[in-house]
Amino acid sequence: MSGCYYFYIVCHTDSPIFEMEFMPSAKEPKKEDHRHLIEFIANAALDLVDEHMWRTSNMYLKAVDKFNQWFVSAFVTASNIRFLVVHDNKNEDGIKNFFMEMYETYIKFSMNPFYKQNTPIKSIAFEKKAQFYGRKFLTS
Amino acid sequence: MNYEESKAVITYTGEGWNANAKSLLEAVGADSFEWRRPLGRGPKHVRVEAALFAAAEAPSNRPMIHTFWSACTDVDTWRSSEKDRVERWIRSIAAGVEWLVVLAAPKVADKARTELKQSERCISSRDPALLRRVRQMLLTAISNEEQRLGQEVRRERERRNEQGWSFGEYLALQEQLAALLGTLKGAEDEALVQYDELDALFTQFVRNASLIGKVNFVLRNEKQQHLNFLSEPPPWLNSFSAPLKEWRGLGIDSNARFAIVNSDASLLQLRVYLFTRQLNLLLKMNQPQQIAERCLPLLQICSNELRILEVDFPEGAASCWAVQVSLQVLHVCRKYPDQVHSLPAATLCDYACQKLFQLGELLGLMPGGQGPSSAQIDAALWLGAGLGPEPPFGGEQLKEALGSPAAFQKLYLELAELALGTFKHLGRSRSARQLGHQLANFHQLRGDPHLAAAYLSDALTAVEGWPTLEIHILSQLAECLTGEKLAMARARLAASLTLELEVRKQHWHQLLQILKTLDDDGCVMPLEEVFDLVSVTPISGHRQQAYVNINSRLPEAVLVNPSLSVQTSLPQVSRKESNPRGRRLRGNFSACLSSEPIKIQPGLNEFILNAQGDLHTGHLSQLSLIMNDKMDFVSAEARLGIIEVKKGETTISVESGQLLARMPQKFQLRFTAGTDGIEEGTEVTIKAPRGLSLGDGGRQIVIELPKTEQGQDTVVTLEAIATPPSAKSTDIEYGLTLTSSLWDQAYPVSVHFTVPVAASVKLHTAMKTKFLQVVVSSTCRQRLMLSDPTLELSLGTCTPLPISSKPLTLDPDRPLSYIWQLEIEGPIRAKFNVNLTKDEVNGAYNCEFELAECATMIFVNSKVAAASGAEVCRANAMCHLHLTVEASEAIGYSLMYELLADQSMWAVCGRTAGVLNLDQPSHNLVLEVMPLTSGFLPHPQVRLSKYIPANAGSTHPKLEPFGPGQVYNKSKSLQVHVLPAIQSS
Repeated sequence: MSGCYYFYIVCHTDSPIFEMEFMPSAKEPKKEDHRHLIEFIANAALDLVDEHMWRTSNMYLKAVDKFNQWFVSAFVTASNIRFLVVHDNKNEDGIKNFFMEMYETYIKFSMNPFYKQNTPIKSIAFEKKAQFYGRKFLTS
Repeated sequence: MNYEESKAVITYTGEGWNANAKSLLEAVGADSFEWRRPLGRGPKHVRVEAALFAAAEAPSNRPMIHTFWSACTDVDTWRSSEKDRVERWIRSIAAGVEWLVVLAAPKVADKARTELKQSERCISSRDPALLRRVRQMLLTAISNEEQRLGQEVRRERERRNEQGWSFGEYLALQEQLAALLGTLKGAEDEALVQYDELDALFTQFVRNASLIGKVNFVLRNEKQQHLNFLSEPPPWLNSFSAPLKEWRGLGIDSNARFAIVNSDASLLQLRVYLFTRQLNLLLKMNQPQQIAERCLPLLQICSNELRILEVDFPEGAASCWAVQVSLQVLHVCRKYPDQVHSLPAATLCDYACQKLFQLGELLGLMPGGQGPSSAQIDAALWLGAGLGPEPPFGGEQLKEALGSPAAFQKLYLELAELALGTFKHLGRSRSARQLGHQLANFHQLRGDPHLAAAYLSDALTAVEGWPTLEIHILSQLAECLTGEKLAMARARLAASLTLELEVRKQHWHQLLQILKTLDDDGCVMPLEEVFDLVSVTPISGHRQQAYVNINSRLPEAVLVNPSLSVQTSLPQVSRKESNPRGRRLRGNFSACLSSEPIKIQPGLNEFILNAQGDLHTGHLSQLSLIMNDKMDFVSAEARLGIIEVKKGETTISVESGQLLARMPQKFQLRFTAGTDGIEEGTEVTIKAPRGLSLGDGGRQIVIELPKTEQGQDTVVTLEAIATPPSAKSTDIEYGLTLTSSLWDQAYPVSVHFTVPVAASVKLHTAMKTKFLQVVVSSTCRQRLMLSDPTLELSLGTCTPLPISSKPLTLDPDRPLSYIWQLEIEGPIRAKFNVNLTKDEVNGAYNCEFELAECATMIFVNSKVAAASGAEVCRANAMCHLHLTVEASEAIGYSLMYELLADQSMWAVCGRTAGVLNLDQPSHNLVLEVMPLTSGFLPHPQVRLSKYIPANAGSTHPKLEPFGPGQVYNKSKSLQVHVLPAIQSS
């Protein structure tokens, strides 16, 4: 299992409002207990994200946590929405680009007057964008 | 390695040595001094401490300065004997070692400086510069030693991959350097660097060892022969793979150092030794904040290295060691109140808690169990023994805890609460909640579900929205709850899509069991936890309804009582619930739409709710599904749609296909009940207009309607025959008038009928015989059967031709004809009758015609022949038209004839018209015509009219045409063969 990426957007109340996984195309779908572990790692990293974001003026916080082979990279938007990627490969630039593109996508999405902040993102267009950037910057 | 043993040494010789001098030398270490160092390193302020030794007893291998103390106070004695002694002493000192001669009297010191030519090294004991001079010399000595050792360390480190190199020996060497630096107050950080380097070097070796196997495997597979395979791990590393026999905590143990230097130590011994050294240095440097921070990585690295080096140890030993070290470090931290509540300490505490929890499970020390078994007690004793004798940094609680469950639990709770408190204090809410989650397990085992539930509920809020984490905690929480809360937890679990279907079903059945035990108040639960409200579509009007679409996530079908509240007034401003998972309140359901209990299947469901009783206008607000009369799933108050009351009367619509006139036809009246519904037996009087008969033939009938609820329909079928007065119009609209108590005024309804056929007549004449043709065509675009045609004449007789009694089929595009031969005189009226059949429904069609005078009175015969002398008619040659007019009987008036010829074919020469006096039965006339073209030309027509000459009444003569059939033209449609004109040569 390497080259897997799990992307989460976490809202102000710590709930994930969007999640997506990116696998190298040859990989088989993960098992359920695996997902539990990933969620656990991502959730546990939130404390560290909150700590790291005051130490830098950058939005991209790089890897904030590590658990066994898993890294957690984070990005904090201006409105304090947290993007997390749990990954097992070092790919700092790719993740940074991915975050930047997703940030732009998220801004556009959040400007939709019908979208209520802190509610799950249910948009096919958004998903497609995420998938596209995931392929472009993460799994390619 | 002891710092005392590494201190720089000051030796003394001579008799000038006294107590004052000793205290003076001891003061060397009292003040800091600038230490300028070579190799570009920045200056440092350090305090130098030195040990005093008599020259004979001085240890070797330490930075050293020699002093000679002379008690000589007068110059003569100096000259006579003391100078020689001093010179001898100086000669005895090895090169490169600092020395100093201290003279009691300043004047002797001056003398000695000049005579010995060593102005720097001779000083009076009363000289204030003495202290500075001693320090400087000590520093120089130490610097020299440091440089020597440093070079040696570097050289050794370069050799680290060579055969025969040993980490233990290298460690001993670098420790010398560290110890030397450690003697300088203010340079402990440099000493710490030495240990950090050792630490890092060892870590790197272990890492490489773990990689060697992997990399060589890859290289071999890829046949990268040109790359050097990594060498095998060094043999000295193997000693660290030896099975663990003891797992002592922190503390300096001379045996351990000896073992390390001789490559005979265990991994933990080495790690503990290095960390203890680091810890001591940190304490010396007064930097306790780094202790806990460095401890956690140490524990993690060690547990990894034990794995990499495949070290054998009894189960639980590693955890035991980790807890012991943590406890010791925490004990040290406790001396610094701000440290014990720092984040590293809390993280360490948290880690220790986890390890302790594992130990407790292993050794049967957890609460709620049977207590440890004898095997577990043995294991605990064994683990306790491995911790070694009294540890120096406290931490004796662990031994105690291993011995008794009570002490164990006390220790666990103590640690957990310290960590929890610190996490909360520092704002690490998620870490605190995670720990709380673990603590909840503990309390659950202890038989305190309330406390466990409190921790779990708190933990649950931290993972809201993370499906698997949420379900994991919720499943645990369900074990700690009872009653209403348990029911709600079970419902959420049963509706969780992340769980397996079988597990969800189990939760579901447990929920059903719990509901039986709940009291009658039941519980109110947010609808969204179990169902997704997809849509609510209100339908206003006199039939108030709402279509509700919901998605059930429950694993099985459930019977519920649905209702949808209608908020008829503006809600009062109230504080909104901040937590959506908080208690959901059932709003005001006094006005609501509802229905019979319905079965909700897993997945999408649509059902209709109706207004029961009174209608209301307002917002649809809350959907409630009550299950088993106990559990009420209520959606959040929202504006789901507007529903209004619209008063309405009963309306009627006509439902029929194409209705045909003249045949009995059926059609439906659909009564849609208005707001008030229709009472049983309500009478409705239906009046038909002229030309339409209802039912049995009357123009008025009364029907009774059954009871009909508002919005429901009742259909009444009526039979009617339309007999349109005129045969000309094919589509007739009849207006029905309905009167009843349902309406204030008569209710008009219109019905359309189509006349199915149309008939027309044609009179045909052959000499004196007359025929009547009746053409029947369909006007309704339907196929009909026609039978029994009859023609009734007012005068005379008629005979049908041919006589056939078979019914004929009338197709929409094919008219039918019937022919009768007439024997009539004078104008008559004829009536045509025919029976119609359509789909076994019989009707009749009739129509009347007026026939004017039609008996043949005059016969006309005309013939074109060539002019005399020619045998055939030719174009452009004059021809004769022979016209014969005969009257069948004498008529009392003259006739006017007119020759009507097509001017493109015929040129009439001479007369074209004339008046004949029919005083004789037959007239022959010859008229001249000329054909203009050749071919078969139609005969020029002759028109006859009655000629009424001018008389007193009118100045002009009058022409009157004959009626149809009165003039019979025998030569009608004859043609004349005209040859082309003869070409004139």
